[in-house]
Amino acid sequence: MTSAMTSQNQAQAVENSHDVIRCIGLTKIFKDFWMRNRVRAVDNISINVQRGELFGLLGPNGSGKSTTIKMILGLLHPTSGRISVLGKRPEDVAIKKMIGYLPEESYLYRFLNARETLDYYARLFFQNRLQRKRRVDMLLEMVGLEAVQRRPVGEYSKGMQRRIGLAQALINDPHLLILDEPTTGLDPIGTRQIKDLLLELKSRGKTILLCSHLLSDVEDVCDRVSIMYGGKVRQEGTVDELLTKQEATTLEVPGLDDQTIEEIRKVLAAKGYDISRVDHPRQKLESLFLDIVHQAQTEGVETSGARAGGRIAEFLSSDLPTASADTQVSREQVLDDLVKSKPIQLTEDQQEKSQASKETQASKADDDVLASLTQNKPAPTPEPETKAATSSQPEQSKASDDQPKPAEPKKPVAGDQSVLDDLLGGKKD
Amino acid sequence: MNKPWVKWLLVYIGGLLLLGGGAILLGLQDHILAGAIVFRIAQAFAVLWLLWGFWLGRNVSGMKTIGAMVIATLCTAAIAGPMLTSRSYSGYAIVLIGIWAMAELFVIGLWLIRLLLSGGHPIFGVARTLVDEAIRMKIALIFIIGVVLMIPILPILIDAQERLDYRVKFFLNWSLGGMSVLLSLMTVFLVCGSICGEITRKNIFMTMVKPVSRIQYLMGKWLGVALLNMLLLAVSGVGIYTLTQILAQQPVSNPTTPQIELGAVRYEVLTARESAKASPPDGMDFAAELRSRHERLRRENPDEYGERLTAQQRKAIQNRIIAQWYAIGPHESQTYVFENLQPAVERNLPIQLRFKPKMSKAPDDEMVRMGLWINDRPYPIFQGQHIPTEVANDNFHVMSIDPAYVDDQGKIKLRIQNVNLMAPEATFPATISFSPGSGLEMLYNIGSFGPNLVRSLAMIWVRLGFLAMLGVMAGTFLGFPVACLLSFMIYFAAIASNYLKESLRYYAGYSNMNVNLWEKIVLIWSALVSNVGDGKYWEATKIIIRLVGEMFIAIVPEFSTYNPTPLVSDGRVVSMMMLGESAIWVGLVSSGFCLLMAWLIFQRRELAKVTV
Repeated sequence: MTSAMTSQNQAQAVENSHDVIRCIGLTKIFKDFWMRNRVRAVDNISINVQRGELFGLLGPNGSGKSTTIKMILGLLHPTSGRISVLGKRPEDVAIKKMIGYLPEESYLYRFLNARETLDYYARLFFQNRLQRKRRVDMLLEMVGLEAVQRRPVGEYSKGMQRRIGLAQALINDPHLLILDEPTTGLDPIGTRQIKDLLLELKSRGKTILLCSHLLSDVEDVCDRVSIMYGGKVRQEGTVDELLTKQEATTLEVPGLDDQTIEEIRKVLAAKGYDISRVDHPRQKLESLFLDIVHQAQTEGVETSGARAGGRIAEFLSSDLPTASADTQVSREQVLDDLVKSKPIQLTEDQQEKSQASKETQASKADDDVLASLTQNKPAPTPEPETKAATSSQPEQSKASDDQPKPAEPKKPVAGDQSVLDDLLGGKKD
Repeated sequence: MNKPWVKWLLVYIGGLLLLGGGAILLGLQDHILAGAIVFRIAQAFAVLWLLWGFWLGRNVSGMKTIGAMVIATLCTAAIAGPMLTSRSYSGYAIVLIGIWAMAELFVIGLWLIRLLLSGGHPIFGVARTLVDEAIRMKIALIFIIGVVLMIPILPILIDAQERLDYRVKFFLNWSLGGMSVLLSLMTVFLVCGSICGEITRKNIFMTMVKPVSRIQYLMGKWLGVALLNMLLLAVSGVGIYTLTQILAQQPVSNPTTPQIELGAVRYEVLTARESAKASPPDGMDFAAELRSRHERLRRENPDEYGERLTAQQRKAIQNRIIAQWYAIGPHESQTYVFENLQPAVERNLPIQLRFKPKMSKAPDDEMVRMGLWINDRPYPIFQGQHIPTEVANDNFHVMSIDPAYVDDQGKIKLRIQNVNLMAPEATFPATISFSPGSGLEMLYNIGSFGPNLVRSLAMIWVRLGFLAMLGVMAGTFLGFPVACLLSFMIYFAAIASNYLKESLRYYAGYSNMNVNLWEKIVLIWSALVSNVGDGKYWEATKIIIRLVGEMFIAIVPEFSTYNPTPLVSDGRVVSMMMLGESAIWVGLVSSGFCLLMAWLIFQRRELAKVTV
């Protein structure tokens, strides 16, 4: 009786909360033929993913991430514990209309081509012919597979299969997107695009559960992470909480000569600080790679593989809490604003999340010291990449300077968006 | 205007007008040779420019298929056309045209199925993907090609020296039977391969996380196979019908009496005949005969026969009475009444008396001599004489009887006398007997071959539908090889259900004829106890094996009852009643049971659980 009441209370609590996914005391034990416990894949974990959040599930291989996801999707039944997805049990077919899922490998039908594959998945959502055609066209453009859409998926490279896998996960304009290792097998461009896409989708109010063991992916995009090991959650919190080192400060200024550094050292020494490390920041290999590919694309070098993806599919609606579901006009307005808005201009270096975080946390005293040191010097020439980013902005983005900005995502999304637009050469606008 | 296909079309129309017009003008001006040359050039241009058009549009959806169809048509016309005019190669031309027609029909049918399944519904989506899988993955395609090739090739394998009606029967028997076997194999491999393969390759993850219920997924798989089977049956049906008609026009084996073979083809093969079995005349009472025999046996053997007969004893006595009724001793006669023959009168087509007499001891010439009376009048009469019926011993024979002999109640009374009419004293002293049922029957035409073939194909489709559902069920909890094995085991048990039942009855000794469930339990229990008590452990084990076997047979549909192939090849009707029964028992009850089982298993299955 008590147990039943507890279950009822739990269910009620789940329905009343803002949690899109709620797992309570989730355990999964795989048994052998003789029903003996063989593997405890997930061990009494509790996870909440809130509406509009980009949640990362981190962990090494075999830590129970994929098992947890499969329980959330109803592909496995928990040995004990409760799961609620969008307020319902995971087996409920109705909630599947609002979920998009990309498994750890794209388990596609080898004999279908890209268009047929997306068309098949669209049918499963009861979409009519016109709706299917429109969405499939947009998604193929978005993932850059328009040119190879008639080739059987079995002939695709792994990266191309990931792209089509991602496209199928978005075919229903999902409220909740569950991605299991989405960047596996993708080239750096694809990886970057996926990360940008995730941020864009999050800015549209989608809830995303990202499962990965690629730490940089999770660090770049996630609001909150849960780190698993041995089937248990070891640590959970926002990325800032988990990563920020409050005991150290990093300053970034245009290149300084030795004399200036020495002067800074003296100033800091007077305040009782010592500089532990001085070096020149290096460009990230990702940025270098993207520049090279961009150069090749502008030179018109042919490729038989996937092209750079297009803009985000327009049917992927905004699900922001501010957008009323009842008023179609205001909803479309928000969507238009999102598509048209000019991204915030940030340099590559400013995109580095950790540095940005450290900058905002620099003390007032440090600012004063810096100001006094750089006051007498002429302002340095802006970084070349900053110029490039500005010059390659799409016209539409420039034109929309005066338009009201949409609800800004927590992360420096615009910087990522500018890279995406830059890669695409603004041709899609 | 800049579109390539517009330019292509303009050149095509222009070229045809120019060349065609030129040829006509030259012809009108009596330049016959020049006109003919220009006409040939116009023909070549029409074909080549058409092919060029297909090459241009090769990237357009569906253009490759249309192009392939047109090329196949042109090639078939080019090869089979000249062959048709040659007498020695015309058979091969027919085969080639048959293959072409069936292949083209299949492609068009496939397009129709895709169109039918183009709706936005999960069942349609799953079904269409299965159809694509069947065509693009090679296993199912091999069977499809097998069916499309087998039917047109069969006619050239038949011995041309054989009687024409036998040739047509042979073709019908083998084409329908072979097609059934090939489609059965394809159905099991396809449906088990698809479901098991998707679970193994994890494609099913992507489908089942969409708003697709488990039952919809299973129904989708079934629908895909069922539609594919329907298409293949339709294509095969057209092929079989056409080739049967062509075969029936072939030369007879004995040109001196062509009407015999042509008549046999027309009235005994390419028709739909109902059978009237013999029943005893009014004066005869089987029940009274049974009682009198029981009394006699009780007097002779009171230990074995009690006041009440056991079910087994009753059945044995009944069988003896019927066998005796179908046996006629020397100089004796027996009367048989055939009822419900009104349709033969309405259609005014001859009634066929089909019989197979067997003598207890055959004379040297292996001939059976009998005298027949129909409605108490001698038959047949030739020049006022009652002609004896002389036929080969232990063979089936057919005699035509005028429908005018049928009386107002739709009956014909047939008396057979075991006597030599020419010299009664020379009557051979042996008993003539007929197998009860099919050994002596009257057949009358109630329909034509075409609709009969359609009904038989529909019945085969119902059987294949059950097999598909069986495969779906096996695929939900077994791996591919075991699922196929289980499906085939149940399928063959269904085909041989009657034989298996008989075998089990003789395998272990206890009677269960005409007893209710409670009596059966008591019977089995007492048989078990007595065997164990007597130390006959193997006998007891056999009883248990029989019990398990009977339980298995009980849930297996009786395919042997619903097998249309021998009926069609024998020119017998596959009635709507029979089709309806098969649809209910095989299509709804048995298939529904499989679907229920499949759903119960699949609903709880953890699809992502790895089982080794």
